[in-house]
Amino acid sequence: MFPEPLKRHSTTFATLAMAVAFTLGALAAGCSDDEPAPAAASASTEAVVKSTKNRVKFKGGERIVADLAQALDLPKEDVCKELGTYDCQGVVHTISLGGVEPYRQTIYQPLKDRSMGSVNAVDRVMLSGCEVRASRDFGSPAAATLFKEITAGATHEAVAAVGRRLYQRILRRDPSAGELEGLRAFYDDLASTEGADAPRRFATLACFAVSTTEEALFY
Amino acid sequence: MTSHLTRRNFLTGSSLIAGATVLGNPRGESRAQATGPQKAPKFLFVLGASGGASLLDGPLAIRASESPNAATINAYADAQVTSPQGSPLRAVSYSSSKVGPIPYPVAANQSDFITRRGKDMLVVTQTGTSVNHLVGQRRSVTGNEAWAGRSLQEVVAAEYGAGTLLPNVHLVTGSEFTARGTDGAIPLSARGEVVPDALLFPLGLHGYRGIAGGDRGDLIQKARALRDGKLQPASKFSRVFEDTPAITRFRALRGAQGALESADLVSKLMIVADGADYPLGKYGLASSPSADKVRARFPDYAKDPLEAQAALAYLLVTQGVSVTVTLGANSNFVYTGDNAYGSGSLQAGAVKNLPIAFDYAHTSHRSAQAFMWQRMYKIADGLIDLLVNTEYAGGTSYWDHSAIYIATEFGRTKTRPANADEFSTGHDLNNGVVILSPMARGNTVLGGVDPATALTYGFDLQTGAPDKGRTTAEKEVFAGLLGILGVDTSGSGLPDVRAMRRV
Repeated sequence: MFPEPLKRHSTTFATLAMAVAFTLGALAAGCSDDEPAPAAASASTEAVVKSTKNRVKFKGGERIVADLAQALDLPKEDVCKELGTYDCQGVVHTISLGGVEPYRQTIYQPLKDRSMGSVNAVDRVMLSGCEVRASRDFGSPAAATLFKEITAGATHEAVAAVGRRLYQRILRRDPSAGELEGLRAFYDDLASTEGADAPRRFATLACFAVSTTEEALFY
Repeated sequence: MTSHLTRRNFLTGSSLIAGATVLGNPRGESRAQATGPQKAPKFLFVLGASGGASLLDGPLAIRASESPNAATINAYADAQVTSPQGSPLRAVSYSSSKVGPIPYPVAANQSDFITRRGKDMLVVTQTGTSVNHLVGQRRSVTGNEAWAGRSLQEVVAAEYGAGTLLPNVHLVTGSEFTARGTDGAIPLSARGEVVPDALLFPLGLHGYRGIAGGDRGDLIQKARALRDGKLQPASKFSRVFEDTPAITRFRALRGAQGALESADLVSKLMIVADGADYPLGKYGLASSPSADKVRARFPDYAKDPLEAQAALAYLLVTQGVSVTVTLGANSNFVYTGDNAYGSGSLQAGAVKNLPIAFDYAHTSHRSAQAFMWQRMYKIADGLIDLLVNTEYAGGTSYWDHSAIYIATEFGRTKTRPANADEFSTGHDLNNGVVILSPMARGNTVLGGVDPATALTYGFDLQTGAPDKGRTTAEKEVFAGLLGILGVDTSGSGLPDVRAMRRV
């Protein structure tokens, strides 16, 4: 049974309408395939109304890989292979990513809950996909699709451009100022330790960080 | 289901780690740390003999000379049934040129195993309550819901699993020997974790080692900190849905990720060898320090799923990861020959598992039972050998603290056409179970078999004296197993089956 939202959050129609709008806005920003909403100046500090419906679902391996492949301009089969050979989603981590294997393993139903295997599989798939994209972009800067601006060295503007593109491609929205600031600070930290390798490292790791957010994995 | 199982397509189309939940103990202490004031753990291996393993074709075999109805019940020629000197345990010797219509010879001889392991072997007669495979399997590990619906494995994991990362692991799939219990009081960490494929399972125990881009763990941690500390809190989606069970559980799992990675299970549990099929070294990975040992004991690990499971079961326990592991034959026909099934003869030694395992007795009882008992004994023997030769602590071996429960869902019907050697059998409630453990009353049969009818009867639960007036219930076997394992069953209502414990 779901608690009555009115009792918890609002006593006036205007307040309720605003709360609903925020909630729908948050949902739309996370799920829509339409043009990304314009960046809000301080979206990270906007008040939100927590969901009481709790119907969030894990995307599942097929969708995760498909979304990542599309975001990173990669063929699905290039996204992730364990030991260079075994497809991560289709072979190695199928069950932990919410799939089934009825023929050899007689697993007919997906696991009901996520597991440590799921958490690790997600990290491995996303890290691999991001690394493949970064490797290709830095290997052929003229043909780069995601990280072009930083392939020849990174300025803050270049990092911001890449950051925006990561959000637009992976999360289908513009990043907030706070999110961009986080990415910029992350780059600076990398630059202080990795030197000339920082742009290359940033490409993979920033992509990994964004693509493994809950917003990217659940709907 | 028949499948052609080459090494390559054993991996293709199968998947690995399914569930590894580390919520009970995210700190991942070593065994040494965890067993301070606690009692020493006991280890339970449930070896699923799926399909209906008849004890009359194993340790309770009847000699023809013992039965007035030898021609029409499942009694063997005297020469086919042997016993070690002074032992009540029986060993069947059986050979056939084929297994029903499968043109594959069977040559089974159980005497070596009985001779070698009989001192730690306890046979307990039992009459079950279901001839349905899945229901019977579940009841064989829950005692027919004897203790609030808890499974043996969950009880052992809850009792001894503190300090382990994956206390209860299920390596066999498609079976209710891995049934999830229904008692909500069992902690989540004690629930079974499903591992569909044993070979590359360790890859699911680390978030980045061995994968492209994962060469710098320190940088991965920074990226995770960025995500968890900056990006996620700024995400409206995360803030709106942060209280949903799916999200809170995912965050809890992420919180335990570091402990799992620090335990280096990706190495410790890696059975496969570095080579063309598994280029571990190229990706910064390595085999387990114990891999050579398990590969030598289970040389068909790469092609035979049950050997791979047995190898991993040993590593899971001796590396301090688990206290109970369930493994077993599933229903797949396993053929590891180099030729495609259907193109020429079946290669010698290449049939590893019959279609539907013990249940192939519906087609050809004796050859199917002989083949599968040989398989079960071989796996158990290999596992025992490894455990015996691995020190646990204080001069004791892991075997000294272990029990292997050969679980099966029911027996087979007892009759046959007059003097038939090949015949069909159905499911039968009346049967027994086999327990291998130095903690069990060894070289013993509790209960007995009526040679006239081939039906088993029970025993006095305290003294072990045969009692033809009763049969043993699933609940009693369940309770007796927990007693062998030293589990505190206070308040459970379970009987004390003292007769099953070694004095």
